[in-house]
Amino acid sequence: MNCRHLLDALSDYLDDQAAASLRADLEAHLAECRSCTVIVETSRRTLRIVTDVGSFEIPDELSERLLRKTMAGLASARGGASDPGAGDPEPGGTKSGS
Amino acid sequence: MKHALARGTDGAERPAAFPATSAATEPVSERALVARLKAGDEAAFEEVLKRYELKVFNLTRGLMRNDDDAQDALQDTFLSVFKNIGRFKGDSSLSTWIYRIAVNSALMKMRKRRHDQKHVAIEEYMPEFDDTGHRVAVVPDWHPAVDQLLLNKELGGLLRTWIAELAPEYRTVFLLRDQEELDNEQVAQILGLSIAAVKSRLHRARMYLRERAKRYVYGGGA
Repeated sequence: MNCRHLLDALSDYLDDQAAASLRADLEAHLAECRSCTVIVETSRRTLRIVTDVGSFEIPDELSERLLRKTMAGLASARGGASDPGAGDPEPGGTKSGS
Repeated sequence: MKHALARGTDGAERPAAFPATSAATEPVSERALVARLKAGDEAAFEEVLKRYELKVFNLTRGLMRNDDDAQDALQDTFLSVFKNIGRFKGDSSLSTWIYRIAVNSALMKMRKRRHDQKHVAIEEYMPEFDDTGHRVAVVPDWHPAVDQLLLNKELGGLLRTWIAELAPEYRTVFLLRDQEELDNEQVAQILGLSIAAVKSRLHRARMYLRERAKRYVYGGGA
């Protein structure tokens, strides 16, 4: 286990999704590598800040406008073609990408 | 069975097609809600808005770089949900389906604005290793400095900005995983990616944000 290996497994480790044997190897490396310990701690702190910053709020006016416009749009669309902008609404399909 | 009254968009009250939720009843199950939506029950549309509008707004606001575009994408999302509910087969959860439509709505808007969208080169923020797999540069520990509440709050605002500067393929994954707290499988389903691709993009987005925070705390610049 070296620093590069730890970095490759970092997200699983942060998410508590690393297998037990991998976790043991990671923690053995962390016990000896200050740099990687810092990486782990600062990564955790970054994610905690993202969570702490909280959610945006929807202004009441927007919420009401959304309801009105959506209902009006729905009423006018009833009986029309489905929205091409939705794309394929069913998720899944070919797995791809990196 | 005594039916509750539902208020339509014209303001008139009429018996709901299905009993509305109340404090005394269990929340409507997703299957029942979808059935009501397909039947055109307006109270069901309102229920869907109530359940999902904040989640979708948080996603579109994170994906778009301004309130106006986020609000447009929010509206487009729900219009699309209601127009296309007849095509929803139930192969995924309703929330997964709605998230997918929200991401598509936002990405369509982003494509239209391609000429003024600049993204960071994420590679510049990835750590470097020597041939033995050890880090090339010293890693400063900035997280104790952030214990000051003010800096923590400051970083929170900056993180939102930095997230918005990510290329869309990283931004969507990061927001769905670390803001919306969905799991890898759900994100993969929403985006049509493999789980390996989700994990790879998430990892790089996290490393980028961590590095930007470090450069800010030590460099004094955003």
